[in-house]
Amino acid sequence: MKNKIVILSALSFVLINAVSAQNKYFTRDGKVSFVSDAPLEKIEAINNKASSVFDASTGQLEFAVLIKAFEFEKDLMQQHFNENYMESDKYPKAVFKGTISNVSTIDFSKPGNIPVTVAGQLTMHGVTKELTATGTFEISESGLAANSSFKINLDDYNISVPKLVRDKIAREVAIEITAHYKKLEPKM
Amino acid sequence: MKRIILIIMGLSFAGLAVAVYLYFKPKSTLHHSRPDFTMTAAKLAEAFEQNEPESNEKYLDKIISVNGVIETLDVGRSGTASLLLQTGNPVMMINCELDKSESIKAKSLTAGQSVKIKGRCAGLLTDVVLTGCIIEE
Repeated sequence: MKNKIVILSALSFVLINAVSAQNKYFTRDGKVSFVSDAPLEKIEAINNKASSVFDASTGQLEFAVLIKAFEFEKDLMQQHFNENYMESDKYPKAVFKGTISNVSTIDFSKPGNIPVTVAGQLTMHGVTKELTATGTFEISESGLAANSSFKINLDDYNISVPKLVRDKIAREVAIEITAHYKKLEPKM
Repeated sequence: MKRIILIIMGLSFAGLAVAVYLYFKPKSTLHHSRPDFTMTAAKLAEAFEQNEPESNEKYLDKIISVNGVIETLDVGRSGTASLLLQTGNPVMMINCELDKSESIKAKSLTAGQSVKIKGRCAGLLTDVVLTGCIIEE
């Protein structure tokens, strides 16, 4: 009897893993861009190397970027961003871990555009804060694409803006995310 | 007295010119930069796999010349081309974001080809990421 339970548990475990492996999506070239629109200056940067995993069975979504991979138009801006504001030597990554709240209502086999809400935590500059954002899932023959726009407050992440440049850097920064996922091959 | 004033004005103007130049300086490229390190893609991945904090300390922001075999090529979905280099580790490869100037060169490359690339190390996500990459041949 005990043997049967063990075998059944092992089989279920393998099957569950196989099924969830079938439902994992991945990208290593996601795009994250931000705009800081202040009275004196508009600062923009793009990161084309975001890494993200999405598990359609559980709705879990993870997104990570390397701060040093944000590209600015001007060298000096990129330097200040890394050295003074983000301290990227100390905190090289920004990571978001969350869940798509309406995942159970989504049929990933049906092409279409679906509005989604994701709730989770963003860890950046050594600070972790709750973050909720809305976006869209685009399901098509070519796969799954995700888009989202949201705003973050620099103060929330201890990113200090000196008074001298306060008119150049907005306290609230608009962030845009675009990711084209590929389905992960099951490891079995 | 007048001479001193002129000298001070001259220096201030020079200082201002330098500041303005630095402020408006567009992105520099790695075309003329000497790599800080030269190694195989496999060695770079191994270093990060074994000790990420130590590798960050050693390689972040440094210019690394890697040679390896192209796993995949992605030519300009977002306007930038990138290469993925094999490392022997199926999960961790070298993800090279190419400098805009290399997009044309990139089009003549194919998966399975050996290349030598120099880029600036941004760190480790799933792969080791290099940015501003120049194809060295």
